[in-house]
Amino acid sequence: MNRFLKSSGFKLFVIILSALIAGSVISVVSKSGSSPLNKAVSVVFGPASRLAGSISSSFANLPISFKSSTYYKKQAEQLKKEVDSLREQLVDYEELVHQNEFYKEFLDLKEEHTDYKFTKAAIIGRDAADKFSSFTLNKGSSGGIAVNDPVIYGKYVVGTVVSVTPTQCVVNTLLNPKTNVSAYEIRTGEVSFVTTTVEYSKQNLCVMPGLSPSTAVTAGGLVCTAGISGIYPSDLIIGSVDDIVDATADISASAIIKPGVDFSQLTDVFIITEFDGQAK
Amino acid sequence: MMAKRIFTDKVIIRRAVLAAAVLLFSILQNTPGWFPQLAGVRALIIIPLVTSIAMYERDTAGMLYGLFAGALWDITARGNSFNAIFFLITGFVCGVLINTVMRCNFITHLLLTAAATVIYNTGYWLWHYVFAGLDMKITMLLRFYIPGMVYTLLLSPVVFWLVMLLERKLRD
Repeated sequence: MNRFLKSSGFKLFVIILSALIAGSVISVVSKSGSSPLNKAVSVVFGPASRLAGSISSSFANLPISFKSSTYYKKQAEQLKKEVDSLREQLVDYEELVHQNEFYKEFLDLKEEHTDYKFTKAAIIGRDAADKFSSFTLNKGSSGGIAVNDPVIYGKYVVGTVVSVTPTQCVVNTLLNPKTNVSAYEIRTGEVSFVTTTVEYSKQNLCVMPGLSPSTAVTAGGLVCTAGISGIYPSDLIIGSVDDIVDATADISASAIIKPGVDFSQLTDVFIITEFDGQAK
Repeated sequence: MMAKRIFTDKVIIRRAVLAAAVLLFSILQNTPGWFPQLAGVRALIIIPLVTSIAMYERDTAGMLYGLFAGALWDITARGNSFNAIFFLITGFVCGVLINTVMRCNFITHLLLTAAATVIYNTGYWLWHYVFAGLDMKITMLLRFYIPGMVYTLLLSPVVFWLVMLLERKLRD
């Protein structure tokens, strides 16, 4: 036992473990959400993740091509080529429409709010152990990103940045029960906050608790950010009211919110790095 | 001198290939769409990879590969080096056990991977669900984390076989 404790392997293990724990303490104290090792590794190996992420996005349409080629194998060669060509054009067209909508909404938002400063970012990774749709973006502190920066898609809220390294950042979406956003329903003006539970998160839903028992909020209503906490600017769309349910613990009512974005399908987002009223 | 030089080159090549394997497995595991999910459940293929490498490379190299794998995983996760610490310990413990009381074979690999998988998933679940006070803790454990452990263990023989193949090719 003594020989083991005095071995160079054990000493090295203790030194590295101590350094890692010290790094974790530093990251908690500095509130950056990422340790020095994490920052260093993301700078060195970040390009590999980004490359993998971009390849993944580029190949996202492959299953469509495989399906079509299998289906049309039985058809005449000429017809097959024609269909494949049309299909490719359709994919290109849909991509363009999708991209156009994305940029149009973003442009509207930019014109409405000249105080916003944006950075476009691409999703390059998702933690395999996480079940709340968190993801990694290819922009970090070197691009002006900081913890708590809001992440949007068009006019819709996606989530917030929770940890930053020089080249990458991790985002918690609205489907993470740790996310809370001050919000209001636009027709009635009732103010509360939007969060979720594991049960609702599994169904891709959020919840707006604490509404009055006789709330005038109804299904179909639109819920937007209230901008109270200074983390999100006001008037970004969170989603629409899906249902009104009674709270289990008290006499209040809760609105079930369907987020405006399908988080599992996102490939690109915008990070708001600066806006009037942002909490520092 | 010549023999020593060849041996050094072989070790360098072997370790570089293993490091590349760790990088590849990290990308496979944590890049969307690169590894098949079963009903929303993802396999944590880094776990059997680290235990396999540590079994062949022993404690010191094993813990360094564990540290590398964990640090790569931490890029996509928020957790203050949780993965780096976990895999550093996993690599070291597996290496020490093979050095002292266990043999390097498929059965011990399965035992070590099962232990590491159960500890990782249970620890993750305890930290992120139980201590965080979230609802549906048991459902999430039964629906995602236990199937995740089974999926990981089902793939572990393939990972062990790959590492064994690499070790045999690169040691000869």
